[in-house]
Amino acid sequence: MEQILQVLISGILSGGIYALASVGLALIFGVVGLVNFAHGEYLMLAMYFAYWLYNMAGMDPYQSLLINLAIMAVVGYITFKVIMERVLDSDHSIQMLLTLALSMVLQNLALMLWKADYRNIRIDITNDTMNLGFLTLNTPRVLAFIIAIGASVLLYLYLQKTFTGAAMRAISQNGKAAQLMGINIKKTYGLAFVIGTTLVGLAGLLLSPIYPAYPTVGASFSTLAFIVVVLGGLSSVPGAIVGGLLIGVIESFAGYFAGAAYQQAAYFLLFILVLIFKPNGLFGRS
Amino acid sequence: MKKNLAILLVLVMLMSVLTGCGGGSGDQSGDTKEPFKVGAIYPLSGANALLGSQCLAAVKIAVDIVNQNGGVQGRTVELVEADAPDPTAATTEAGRLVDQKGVQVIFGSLASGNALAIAGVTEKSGVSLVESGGIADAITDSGFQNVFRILDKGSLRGGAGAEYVATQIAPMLKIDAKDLKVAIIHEESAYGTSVADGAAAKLKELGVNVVIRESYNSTITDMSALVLKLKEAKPDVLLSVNYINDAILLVDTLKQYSAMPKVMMGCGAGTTDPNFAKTIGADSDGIFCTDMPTNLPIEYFTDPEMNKVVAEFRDRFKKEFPDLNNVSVAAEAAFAGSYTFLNNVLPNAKTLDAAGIREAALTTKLDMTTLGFGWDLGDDGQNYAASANINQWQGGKVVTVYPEKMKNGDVINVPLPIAAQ
Amino acid sequence: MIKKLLLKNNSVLWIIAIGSIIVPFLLPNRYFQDIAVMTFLWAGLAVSWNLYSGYCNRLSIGHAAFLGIGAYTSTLLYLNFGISPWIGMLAGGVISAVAALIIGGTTLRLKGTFFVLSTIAFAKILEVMTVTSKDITQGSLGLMVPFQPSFLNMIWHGKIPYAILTWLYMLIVLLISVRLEKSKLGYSLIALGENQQAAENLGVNSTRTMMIAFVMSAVLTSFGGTIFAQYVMFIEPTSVMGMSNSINFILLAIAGGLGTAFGPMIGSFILTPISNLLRGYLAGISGLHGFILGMVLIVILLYRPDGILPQLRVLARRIFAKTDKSSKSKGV
Repeated sequence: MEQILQVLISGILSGGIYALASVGLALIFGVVGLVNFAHGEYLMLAMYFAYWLYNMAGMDPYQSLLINLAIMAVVGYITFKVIMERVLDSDHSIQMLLTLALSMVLQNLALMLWKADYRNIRIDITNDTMNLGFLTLNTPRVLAFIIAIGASVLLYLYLQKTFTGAAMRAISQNGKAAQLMGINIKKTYGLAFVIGTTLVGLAGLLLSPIYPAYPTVGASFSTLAFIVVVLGGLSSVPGAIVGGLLIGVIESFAGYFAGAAYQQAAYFLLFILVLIFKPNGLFGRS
Repeated sequence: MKKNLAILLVLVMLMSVLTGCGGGSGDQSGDTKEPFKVGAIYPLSGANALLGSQCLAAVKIAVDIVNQNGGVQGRTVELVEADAPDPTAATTEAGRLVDQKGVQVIFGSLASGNALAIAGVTEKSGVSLVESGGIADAITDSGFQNVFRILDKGSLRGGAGAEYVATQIAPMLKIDAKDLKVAIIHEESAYGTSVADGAAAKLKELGVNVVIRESYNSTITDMSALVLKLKEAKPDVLLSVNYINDAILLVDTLKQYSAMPKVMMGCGAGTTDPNFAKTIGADSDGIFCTDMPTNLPIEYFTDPEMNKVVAEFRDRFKKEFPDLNNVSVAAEAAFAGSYTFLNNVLPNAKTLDAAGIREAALTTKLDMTTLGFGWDLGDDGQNYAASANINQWQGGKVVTVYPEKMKNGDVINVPLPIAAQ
Repeated sequence: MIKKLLLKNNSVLWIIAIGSIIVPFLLPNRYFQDIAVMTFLWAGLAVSWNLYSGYCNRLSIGHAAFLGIGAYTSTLLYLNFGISPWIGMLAGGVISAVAALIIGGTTLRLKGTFFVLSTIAFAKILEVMTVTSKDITQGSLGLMVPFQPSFLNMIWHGKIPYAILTWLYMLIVLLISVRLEKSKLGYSLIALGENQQAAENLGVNSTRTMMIAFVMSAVLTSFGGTIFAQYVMFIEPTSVMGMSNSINFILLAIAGGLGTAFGPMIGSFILTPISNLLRGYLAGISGLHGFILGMVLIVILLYRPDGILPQLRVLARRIFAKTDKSSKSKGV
């Protein structure tokens, strides 16, 4: 029993990072309608920035958090201006392919600039644990979980309580109507894209004390974020949070009961099952 | 319209430039003054790029040293490099080196899958493949005539680690080998699988109990579930086959859950990587790693000429990769494979073609290569002088503790201080 | 006359497709011939992919699963029972058809993005199954096809027979694709791609139409998988079923022109040689070739999102418009 609870908790902790990596994607998809296959590459970039700030300026990822987020916002803005803005009205398949090409460019750019070396950040708390009764929790993972859920909830509140947030929700529900009501569509798209990339960057930062940066580190997160977002019903931010936690738990249980080799297959299987019974995702509007 | 034309023109130019580069191909004149062309195929992009680029650097140094000493049979060695992130690319690139560049020898390939794909090409053209990284048994068990492997095979490597656990570690732990509980954890690619299979077979033969065997994908980011499962099985010894990231993550997670068994025996790649100890620090002290001999003390090479060569290689490699505090074993093997072949084997070849090179490779017998063991190939092209050493991390350095003749330190930390009580 | 040929139908494209077989004979060595073989094979695979995804505009990012089924079925039959890959190819086709029926049955009704991701999920599950069923597939150790050249084994010494085989494969797939375009099924598919609701209102049975196209596409991809295995002679789960192959299908098709029979072929004719040559000649800087390829794609997508083929058509039209004028003025 204790073991099962421990497995559950470790799944929830990973799930927090997955959720954070996915809410940005859900936002971009919901508002901009863009399926961004380069999403994971922003996570990779953020991990590299964290590494360089640690290596050159001696700042650990928590100290460099704000600087790094600012950099990610700029990177997101540039991507939007240079590439995404031009294809907002294009066909979905063109957009998807463009983001695939972008991910190819970013991965290989990282390889050219920083080589294939694994960049580890070891800080004092990397292996620290906290004990809650019989439960053992890895401190950076707990921190990551708290910050991730906190940021996701903040995003949710932002969408609910502010005017821009309301504009984003309006666009995601009905773009044309929103435009007629005087919402500056392009600006809102840009903002959503920047928030989305910054959030996935934050996920990368939180991951950096426990996992190294390398050029292809983001690849597996792109697919994972997609699965999470679809499970959550595509454009729903709370859906993505729950979806992320769910995937984390499934992965953890599959690893424990079936074996680590089946971890990925398990959540893909869950994904297909959900789609068979709820074709619009767990929290999707029909 | 203009944009159309411009894009087309750019594409056409790109094509013509590229094919133009290929001009002057296939020049295989008999003039002995012609440079002797060799190829190197490693993954330089994609997931294995890190070790791939180190191996390529090592081969380059070997070619340089050989050329300083007058080349091969009076001919300068010319190296052509190729990037093969996956087996399909390896086939195409092997084709380029063989058919277009006219290389007679290829050094490679790090990944076993790439080695098998390259061998498929080289075998048809009578080009030699000198393998110094791929460990899957199939590479030399498939009847290839022109594949020569300097390093040990997976089954032997895993077997060596397993045998040491059963015969040496069990007594140190004061547990009878029959009662010893071993866990096998390995990454699921060809490398991890073949080594783990070898270890499992050996343990079965010796009657040692494997309480759990688990595989995982090396891109895993959270090993909690795996470690919790392992903890439940309460093994005395963990036999693990990992790449570097997962090796570090495994040790970290084992520590976090206080699940470290009394002994951890890594088998190559990740656990021998210089970054392993560099990253996890003092906790690495006492972790074993079975691998080719690596970072042997320079005095081990008693032959003055070889001593000089090894020193020069290490020196130049460190200049190229200043961040590393050790030369990685993959690079050492790549150097040994290419240097030995160019410096010791090829000079014995009566003709520098498939038949001549095969004869030279099989008849050349060496007591020592820069890798610390000899060169003695069987008919299958496998180097049967290759051995796997049992090494241990001590103070951030790899120390050889077994076999006796290469030993340069005693075993410490059995059981591990970080082991669960 | 020539102008009519060029503009009215696909004659010129057929001439290019059929005439391309000359190329491998003209190439100086086996490396370039290898690229030609790969170009034909990828052209055939991309056209197969396009049969469903291109016409109905619903991207499958899991088609490498069918490539894998084709490769593994024929190879396992050959290695274990000595069954000729020609027969194995058909067996792989049957298994792929069954797999496509199962996958299609669960996913085809899904909308856009849901469908795209479900195809990824299926391919991933199949890949994991292949890795973990070690007793049958040897897992990640992969399977090696022994080099025993004979027509029956679909293995030859030189590259030319492979070039002819892959070229025939490409032609057959093209022929099927062109026929499909002009059939009722094809019209229905294209209509579904443009507007599913409207097409259904007009009486198109969307499930049935999509299913037939999906199965056809899967089977033809699987045939290509067998050829792939017999050509490369080494298969392992990741390099055959991994997502990078699936993405390559899409890249070629979209770069050439999605939803046209010849577009994916043109895409492969241009991109396959470029990407291979870039990798060959830019090995000195890791990552440079992938970077350039990605940039080329971005430029194509930003400036010519319809793909290359429609642009070639426009170009041809302009050239003929000019020659028309000049010949007229001369004639006077």
